[in-house]
Amino acid sequence: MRKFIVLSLVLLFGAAAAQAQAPATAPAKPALDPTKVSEEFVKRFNSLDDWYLTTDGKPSPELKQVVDSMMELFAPDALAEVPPHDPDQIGPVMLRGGANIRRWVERLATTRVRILYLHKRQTGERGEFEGERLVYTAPLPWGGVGMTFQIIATYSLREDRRRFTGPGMVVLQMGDDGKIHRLRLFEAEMTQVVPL
Amino acid sequence: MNRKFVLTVIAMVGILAGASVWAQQRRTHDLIMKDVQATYANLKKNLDANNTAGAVDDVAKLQGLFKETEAFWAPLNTQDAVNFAKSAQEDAGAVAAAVKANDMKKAQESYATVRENCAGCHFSHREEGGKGFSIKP
Repeated sequence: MRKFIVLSLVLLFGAAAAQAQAPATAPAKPALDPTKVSEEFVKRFNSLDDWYLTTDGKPSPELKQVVDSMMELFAPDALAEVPPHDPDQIGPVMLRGGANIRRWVERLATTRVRILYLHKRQTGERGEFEGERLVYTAPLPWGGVGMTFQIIATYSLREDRRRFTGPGMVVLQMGDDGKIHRLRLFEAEMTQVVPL
Repeated sequence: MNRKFVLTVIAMVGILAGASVWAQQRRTHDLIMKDVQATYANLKKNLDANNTAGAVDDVAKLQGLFKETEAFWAPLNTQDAVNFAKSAQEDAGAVAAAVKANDMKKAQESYATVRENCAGCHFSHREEGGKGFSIKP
């Protein structure tokens, strides 16, 4: 009996010690919410023209804030393929790294006004009439999530207030860090909006 | 000695005049707009009162103010605002021409046209917020 009690105690302490030495399980990473990511992308993109001129003709501090806010979404070594900036450019522009992407974002902020990118809604077969903002996702082989969603891109040029609109698509590759590692922004068939 | 003194005074007056002109050109946008508002209202009073001399003075002042407005927008890559300012100068010139020709009806019409430029520019470049107006680039 005495032997049994001693053996039980030894086993009990041994098990407790083994459990204490076992590596603690890592806390589960918060799952990336694709809808939230798309909403945040569109919201910050649309905010790029939310700045003003001071009365002596200088950009207000909001310009830096809106650019910083957009750049927070990107990883420092992100890669972006964006539509051409000028009529002579053929094909998309490839931007490597945060510094180049920042230049592109600043360019958008300072040359476009009344920016209105809409995440397109789609109605389904359930009789709804508001439609849903769909985000298509797929896990990436190297980790992270790829996601894409349709947009309607609308903006005016600051220079002459000409307004353009057209369909488009945003393709994002999100890393495990929750940042954009790759962006592909498609804008197709941009048409000038003219009053009837 | 006297000649040197006179030359120095002339040079100083020139510098002061230049600085004054520069300061006028560099006035802030809100000050220019406030002057436009007051002068535009005064011009209406003078036109209604058939005060030719007063109206011509007001138009000249307005043209100068719109020139300042044009100078404000010119470096800001905002061609539509520059065009509104230029057009306002031309329309103000039409008011002056009508007043000088003693055609007050035409002057009143041209006066209203000036306002269209103001409205067009304000539509694109003025936003009203909680703390007053902001200038949209």
